[in-house]
Formats: sequence, C-alpha cells, structure tokens
Amino acid sequence: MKRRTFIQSAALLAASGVPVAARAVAAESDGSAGKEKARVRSYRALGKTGMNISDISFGAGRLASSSLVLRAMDRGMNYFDTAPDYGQSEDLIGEALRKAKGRDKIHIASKYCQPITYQAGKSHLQVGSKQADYIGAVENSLKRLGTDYVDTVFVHAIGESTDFEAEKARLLDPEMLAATETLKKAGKIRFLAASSHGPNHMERLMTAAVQSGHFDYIMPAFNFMKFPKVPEVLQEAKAKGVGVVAMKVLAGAKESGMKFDAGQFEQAAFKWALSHAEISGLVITIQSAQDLDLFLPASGQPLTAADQRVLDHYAALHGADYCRTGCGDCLEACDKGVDVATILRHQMYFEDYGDEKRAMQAYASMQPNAGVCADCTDAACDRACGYGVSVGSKLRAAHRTLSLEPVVA
Amino acid sequence: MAGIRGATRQESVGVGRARVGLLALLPLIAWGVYWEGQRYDPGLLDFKNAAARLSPLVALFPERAEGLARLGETRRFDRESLHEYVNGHAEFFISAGFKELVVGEYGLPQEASRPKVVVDLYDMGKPLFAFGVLTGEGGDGGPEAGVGEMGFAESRGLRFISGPYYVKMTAFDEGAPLKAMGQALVKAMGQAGVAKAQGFRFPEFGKPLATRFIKENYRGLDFFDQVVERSFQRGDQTIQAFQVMGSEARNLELESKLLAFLKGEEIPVERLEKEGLVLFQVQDPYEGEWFFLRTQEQVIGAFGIPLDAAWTPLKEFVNRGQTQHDEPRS
Repeated sequence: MKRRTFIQSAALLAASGVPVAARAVAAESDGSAGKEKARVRSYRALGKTGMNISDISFGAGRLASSSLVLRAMDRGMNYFDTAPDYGQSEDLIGEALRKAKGRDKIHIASKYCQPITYQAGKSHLQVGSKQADYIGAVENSLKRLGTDYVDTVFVHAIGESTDFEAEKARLLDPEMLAATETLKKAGKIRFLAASSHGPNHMERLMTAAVQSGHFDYIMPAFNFMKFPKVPEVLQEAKAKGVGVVAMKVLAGAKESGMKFDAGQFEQAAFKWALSHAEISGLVITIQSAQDLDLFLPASGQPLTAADQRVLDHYAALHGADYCRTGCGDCLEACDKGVDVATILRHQMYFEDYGDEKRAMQAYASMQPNAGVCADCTDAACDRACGYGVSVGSKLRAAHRTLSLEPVVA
Repeated sequence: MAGIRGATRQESVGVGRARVGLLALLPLIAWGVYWEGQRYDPGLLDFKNAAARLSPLVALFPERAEGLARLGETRRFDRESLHEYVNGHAEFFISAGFKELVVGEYGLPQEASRPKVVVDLYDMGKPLFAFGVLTGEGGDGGPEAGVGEMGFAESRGLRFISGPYYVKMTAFDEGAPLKAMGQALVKAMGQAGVAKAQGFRFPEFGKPLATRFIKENYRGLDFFDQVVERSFQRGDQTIQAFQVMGSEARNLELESKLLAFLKGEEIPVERLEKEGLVLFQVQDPYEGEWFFLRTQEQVIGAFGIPLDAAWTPLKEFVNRGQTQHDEPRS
C-alpha cells in the first residue's frame, strides 16, 4: 500500500467517528522503506503437468498465519505444500485464498491423510483404507481450504516401515488409485504425487513410483549431505517426464558452530539442490516473513565456489551428527526393533526445527521407543552407521528430550 | 619419680578406660550411620539441595497429603541447573520465562525409597508463561484436570496451572490421589496465584471463544513471541485480540520492532492520541485493519474489529488497573 492509499485510509478513519489526533509514522526518512524485497526469480516445469512452479516453494508445516501466505504470494511463490496433519495449515491457506481471490494463481498440494498429529503408520491412509476414505480425506481438505479443488494430493511418507513390499503396496494401493481417478474426474484433484523421507527404501520406493506411471511427480529428501552424486531415481524421473520436488534440503538445519551471515547457509543449500536439472523446485518450511528475506535471494541463482565452501564447512561440522534422511542402515542392527531413523527425525524436528510440541506428540505414539536404550550396552547400532553417527547416545538423548521423563536418580 | 610414675599409671588407666568406652560406642555410631544411610533422601543426590530450603516454593509442599508422606527434602533447580532434571527440554521452559523448579516426592513412609508421586512445581514468573508451557507442552487437549485454573489429566499424571505456577504430577502407581494432592497444592498457594492471575485478562470485545498461547512467530513475525491470543465473537465477526506481557523495556522493544517492520514493509501506520492513550492503527494489506497499544505491563491489540467499535472496551480495560506509559517512541 503506497502513500496515496494510506492518506485515503487515514481519511476513512476520521470519517468513522473516532475523534483522534492522527499522524503518519514516518517511513520515508531513514531509507528503510522502499527497499526491493527478495522474490522468486525462477520458475521451473513440474514434470509434464504443464505447471511452472517457483524454484523455492512454500512448506506450510507450521504455518503461523494466513498473512504469511499472502506475503509469499506477493514475493512470487506459487506452490504451497500442506497437509491435514499440519495443524491449522489448511484452514489458514483457505483464509489466504479468500483474501487473495486468486485460486488459479497458486498450486496447492495436500496429502491423503487424517487431521491428527502425525503418527507413523496411522496419520496417512494405510492399506485397508477404502476408496471412500481417500475421497473423504480430500473432501475434508477442500472444506478446510474453502476451495473446489487441490492441485495435487500426495501419498505421503512412504517408507515408514522396513517391509518394502508393504510400503510398495501402500504406494500402489488399488483403492487409492481408484479414488484418485474418481477425484480427478470430479475435478477435485488434478495430479497425484508420492513422497518419502524414509527411513526405509526411499530411493527404491520413489523409483517404483516413477516406473508405475501413476504419479505426476515425486518428493524425496534430497540434500548435499546425503547425495554425493545424483541418485538414479532422479535421472529416471527426468527421463520419464516425472517432476521432482526436493525436501529436507537443509540437511538438519543445525545452527551451532556456524559463522556465516544470516541466510548464507540456507541459500547455499538451496542453490546446491537447484543446480541439479532433475529438480523442478524445492519446498522449505516458511515460519516467518523474515524467512522470505533469508531464503528467496537464492532463487534463480547458480551455485558458486563460495557456496560450496559453506556447505563443506557445514558437512565437516555436522557430518557425524546428522542422521541421513532415508538411509536406514542401522535399523536392522537393533534387536529391540527401535525405529532409529524416525526417532532421530522427531528429535531433529524438536531441536533443529523448533517444533517441540508436534515432535513430542509423535514420539509418544511410538512403541518401542528409545526408552529401551537406557540400559542397552550393545553398540551394534553405532557400528552400523556408515557416517559415524553415535546412534546409541543420540537415541538416549532423544528419549530424554522427547519424553519429558524426569531424570530420577 | 615414684610420684610421677604413680600419676602416669593413673592417667594411663583413665586413658585406657576412655578408649574402651569409645570402642564400646563404635557399634552404636556404626548403627547410627547405617540407620541414617537407609533413609531415602533424594535431596542428597545433588549438591544444590540446600538452596531448596531457601525457596518459598518449598512451603507449598505439604509434609503429608492424601495418606502419602513427603520423602526426604525437596530439590530445587534454577535456570543454570534445570537441564540436570529435564535434560534436553530445559530450553523450552527457560525461553518461556522459567524462574525455578522445586521437585517433591511422595510415597508411603514405610517404603521410603519408592516414590508413588513426583510433583514438579515450576514458577514461571507470570500466569501468561505458565499458561504457555501448559498448552505448549505435550498437547493442549485431554480430559480436564479439575484442578487449578486450567489443566489436563493424562494416563500417568496431571498437569495444571495456578497463577504463575505450572504443576506437573507424575504417578508411578495406579490410583495415586493426584487430583486431591493437586488441590492441596493449590490451597497452599493461596493468594499468591490468584492475585497474579487477575492480570491475565482481555478487553471485552465480544463473546470469548478460545484462548491460545503462541510461543513464537506470531502472525509470521520472528520477533513477536510469547503471545496470548483470545478470539471473540461479535455479531457475525470473529475478532482476534492479542497481548504480550513483559517488562516495560521489553514492551517498548516490541513496539519499536513492530513499527520498524511495518515501515520496512511500507505498510501504513497511523499514530493516534485519544483521551490520554496513544495507539497505532495499521492499514495492512495482508492482515486487514488492526491496531495496537503499549502499556507499562503489556502490548495489546486486535485484528478484525474497527477501532471505533473496539474503543470502549479497550479504554475500560486500560483504565481498570493498567497504566499507560508516557510517550511511545516510534
């Protein structure tokens, strides 16, 4: 809103009957106003969908307000990733849509999921769900969003269990596929996608999604710590015209020990991911207006040698501290059946993402949890980690953090 | 010499008897040490325990409650030592205003080493902050606890707030009398909680619908944290009022940051003076019209209600014990 509009609004206020002495808070004198804001500079084709999405896109996992969506739209973001189990996210995006009056300007992706706090094997619709369950999940999303359609619906979080065939069955569940066709014909969804942050068989499951021909795009975890070279699944997706949207690009987003300018690490990590031609775009959780200022300068920019040095420094600091999303090498090593990768993912949400409440709730539903590690002397999990992560001690720390059990000596 | 020798012999006899006496006492001393060692005292497990006796919170822990006895001394943790008790989660409390924690354990006197209930009493400094940790920790749902001003029953415990205090009770036994013990604690708190809790209120903008605590990033602004938001119904409109309770300096800082942010975003802000109050009205393309003002004790504002409609309840609220600060700086 420019000065002319402001003067008009002041006049309106005076006309409202409130007897006031009013003056504008000076905005012009110190130069803070009018600076050009960072915005999206590049849009990429999302596979064969015919859509071009902002290379840096909006993850609405902990959405603070509808105004944040509107600010992002003003900065050029046009892809918004939400889900029924992301708290108020769908409601707030719906509120933004009503204010923006431009439904066709943005791409909304949601999930086949229930509006409950994330629980592995429960929140997202599982094998055994009926067509009506899938259709009902989308229709409930549409009510919360206050719109007639979502652009994409995801089969989300594939790879939660170690059973590859069971996970593949969920990925290609005939009930889900039939529901998807029904929803497409009714104009309630446009595209189908699949996502995985592991911890099991991420690349195999994403490959299965690409090869099946049912999915318009995939969303795997993809970052500079996990992938020294481009995974084959990305190359295959590119060859088949299946889009790829990357997530978990910040490799844990750990802050300690970093000496860089604000935004420098994040921008380097984004540029690294976007330097791969197979990637259509990336999704990053936007929590504040300031995040837009920090993240969007990377849009449309090439990865530089200076960026790579930043990433190398981060990897040197945190390489032995970061549990690689989608790895799962240690899972077979634990004879107590502790889901190491999922627990450490919740720990990451708590510690590095600041999402304490959700992480604790999700952890509370896990059985067995890392409480069984308290007296465990078997270091098999440590030995199984090819990246040198001290799995046992990290699990014990995670249990203390996530369970809130008092340390009673 | 003989005299000397005789005296020496007498002294020797005396010393010998004393030695025998001391030797006879040894089993008694050993028994005493053993007996003392059998008494379970969690306060001995850390060296900061002595400080617990200095905390006024200790007086809130009854010696006996619902047939259970307090086992040993209470333990106290401050901002520096909290991590020893809630390792990994201390920052959650500290960032929410934590002042101190006193822990008491209760059980049967004859089973002194087996506590049945552990009571964690957090002094969060302000009712607002206690409310924040209650709703921010492990969920804001579940059955009502029926204790204190607000609380939730859980499978193994009870959490509630009273005034500036957040109480977390953990049971290690089925059927532990948590609710009754909680009520005893609230009674012991007396006016300390109630008097401070009166500051936790809002202007009457309409029919209250819900109250929630937003730990950080309120409305997507990274400097706007520890906010209580209450929604109201007024006709067919929903109003969202907010307040941040802090020191005068913190409130001034928040006001300055809000104004700087709005300036940077080129969002028009108007400074209004009316009947001794100074407030800011914002014509926001993203949030719609909203306003805020700063008092000595809080920053308060509302979205979704025109200022002229908000004026009367707002003025009543400020006049009812809230003191407007002199000149806000922009």
